[in-house]
Parts: sequence; C-alpha cells; structure tokens
Amino acid sequence: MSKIDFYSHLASQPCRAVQIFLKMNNIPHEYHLIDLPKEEQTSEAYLKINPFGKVPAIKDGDFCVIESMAILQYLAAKFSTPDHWYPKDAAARAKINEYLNWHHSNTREGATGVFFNAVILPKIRHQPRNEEAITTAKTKLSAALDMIENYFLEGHSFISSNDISIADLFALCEFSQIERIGIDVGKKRPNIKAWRERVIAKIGSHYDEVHETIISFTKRIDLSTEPFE
Amino acid sequence: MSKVDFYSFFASPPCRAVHIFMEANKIPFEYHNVDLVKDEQHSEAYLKINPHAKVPAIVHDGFALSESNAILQYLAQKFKTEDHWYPSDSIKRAKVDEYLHWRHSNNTSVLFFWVIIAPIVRKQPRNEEIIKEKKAKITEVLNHFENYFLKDHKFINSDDISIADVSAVIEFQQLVYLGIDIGKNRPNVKAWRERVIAKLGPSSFDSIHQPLAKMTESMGIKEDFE
Repeated sequence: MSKIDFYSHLASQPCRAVQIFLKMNNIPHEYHLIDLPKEEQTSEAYLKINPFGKVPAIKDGDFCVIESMAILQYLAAKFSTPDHWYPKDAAARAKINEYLNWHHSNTREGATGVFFNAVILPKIRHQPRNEEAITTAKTKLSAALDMIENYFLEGHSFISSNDISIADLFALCEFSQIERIGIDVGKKRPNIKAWRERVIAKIGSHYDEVHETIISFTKRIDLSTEPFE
Repeated sequence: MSKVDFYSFFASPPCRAVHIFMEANKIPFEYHNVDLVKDEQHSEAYLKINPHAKVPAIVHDGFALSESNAILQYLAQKFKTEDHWYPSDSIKRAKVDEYLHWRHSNNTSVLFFWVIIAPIVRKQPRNEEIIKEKKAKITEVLNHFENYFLKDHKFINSDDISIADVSAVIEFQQLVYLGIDIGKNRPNVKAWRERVIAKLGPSSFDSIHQPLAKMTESMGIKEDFE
C-alpha cells in the first residue's frame, strides 16, 4: 500500500492526535511540515490540499481528507486498525462519536480558548491579555473537565470505553497543550488523573517524540503558570 | 427492533435533523417534548437521560445517546438505511464525516439566538455588534458551500443525499425564518436546497417546521443580509 501524505505542524493539538495514531498503528506516511509561523497554511500549494487553510490534512493518492476526526475515522477503516480505536459495534461506536462531536464545543473550545488568549495573543502577537475571554474559556474548560470526570469516564477506564480509542487521543492532546502553561487537568479530578496516565502509558515512547515541537516552542517564550482550578 | 425514544424541541435544528431523518427512513420512534423555554432540559428526569442537558437525545436498546451527528450515524448503521445516507465506502464516508465535523466550528443557526431569543424572547437589547459578526460568518459559510462543498457535486461532497445534507439544510432553515434568502446570488446553494427538500419530502419538511414557522411568522422578522 502506498504512503499517506500527512500535512501537519506539531504545535497543533489535532495534528498530534493524528501523528500519534499513525505511529501507533505503523501506518506508512510521509510527513510534510506546514510551517504555521510562516503562514504556509495559506500558500497556494497548500490551499489545493485544504481550501480552508488548516492543519492537519492527509492525501491518499488523489484524495484529500480534512478535519482531524474525519481523518482518523478514515484511517481506522482503511487500515483496519484494531477495533478499540473506533469500534465497529453500532452502540460502542456511537458513544465514541458522541464524545468526538461534543469535544469541539467543549474540551477544544475551552482548552484552546485558554491557550490562545493566555499564550498566542499576548506572547506571540504581543497584544494585551483579554481577561474576559480567558475567564470565559476557563469556565468552559472547567465544565468540560467536570463532564469528562463524571460522565465520559464514569465506570470506564477510557472515554466511554474500556480501551483506548481515537476519542482519548483528541482529549489528551488538548490537555498537553495547556500543560505548557501549568494547567494540570488531573489536579482535582482523580478519574482524569488516572485516565491521563493510562493513555500516556499506552502511547509509550511516541508521546514524548510527538510533543517535542510544542515543548521547544513554548520553552522559547516566557511562560508563567496560568491559574486554574 | 425496538422503538427509539426521541427527546426533542421544535426550535432546535439538530433535533429537526434527527426527526426528519427518522421520518424519511420510517424509523419507529416515540417523540418526547423537552420544552427549552420552560428549562425542561435541566429537570432531574431529563438529566438522567442526558447529563449534558441538551437536545436532541435518544434512548434505544437500553442506551442513551446525545449529539445529533452521532445519533444520525448510529441510526443509519443500526437501522440499515440506504447506503447513500452514510456510505460504507470509506472515501465517500470520509467526505460526509468531513462536513459533519466542520460544521461545529461553522455554525450559522446561532444568529437565530441573537435576533430572536435574546431580544424578543428574553427582551434584552439587540447586540448589533455580535449580529454583524455572525452575519459575516454566515456569508463565509455560504460561500464555502457554494465554492467547495457543492462544487461539482449535487449534494455535500457527493452525488446523492446524505446525513450531511439533512443536517445542513435544517440548520440553514433557521436563517430562512429570519427572512434570509440563502440561495440569493448562490446558484449551487439554491439548487441544492431544493433538491434536498424534494428528497426528504416537502410535506414532511413543512410539517416538521410548522411550529417554528408559526412562531416566527407572528414576529414578522426580516433581517438585512447580503
């Protein structure tokens, strides 16, 4: 089978989720760095692959897939990855799909909202901190964490499941982003704390490899711990 | 196969998408009204079904499910609906999934809240700044539809109707009730909308929208939009 072309920048949470999946499943792929700081995502060449100018994207022969979750749903099917990643059973799959869809306006909106307003805006774009936006994002994040703690992980060792799935990768990569500003999602939430350790253990050595970029990126900036309860 | 218990409210586009999909596929269901105006989504009874306190939700074969995309995907699989609704071919399916995820960050129906719910129902002052921002986003989304999702295709990324089209046409209907003509200057969108409604069944489409049509007609809304 020919290689998948993977367009990515590992400072991006969804890119990391896709990269981890590709590595853990030994899916042959060619990595194409899309240099976000240099705005390569809006280049004419890249817009042919993803007209929305976002990462990640993949190209399989002539066919492109955008949206990270659609990418993993596609790869799980195409490469017949072990069932736990995206179960075939209708009810089990539905519960994973439920988390994936909920994630956009909850985990991602909260965590990305905090990171964007506490790091990107003030430290990269040198604009004043928008405290209102930060408070709103933190409230969103806190509510999302409570839902994960009390519902998605209730009675399960992974999100809505007893084995790792693509849902866990998306959640974990949002949390690893805000970890850079000292936010510990497991601090007051024991289910999340234990879940996080489990997922990282399953990912193994790939976890550190995939996080090298975001770690070095954030080390170059003067980052202080962002208060969060 | 047992009936689907369906928890829904007429004003919510994701609810109507699930509703019309079940009707179009003759999926047996029992409709349970969750009155959002009366805050019924926060009642103890409903929170047991859906702790997210949102609609739609279904209960089927002993398990509860929320998130309209997940519900549509489940129903298509479980009730073995015709393949075009959610294709088994992984490439065709990926193009449907692409839209279903994309729509989360590109929601247009939220304008309904700022034009009707906030100022008219909740009697708050109209927030013109947010309304302007939402309208700009809608223009962007409709342009993406015209130039990407419907480019070279009769339906979203496809030559036959899928759950992506059901979701989208119902979401845009929310704008139609604000007096916005989504097909104006957008021939692909105009033709697509007519095609989707024809496939879903115009009388089914109209009857599902009856309560919303009635509510908005009495308000006489006609929003400026380009």
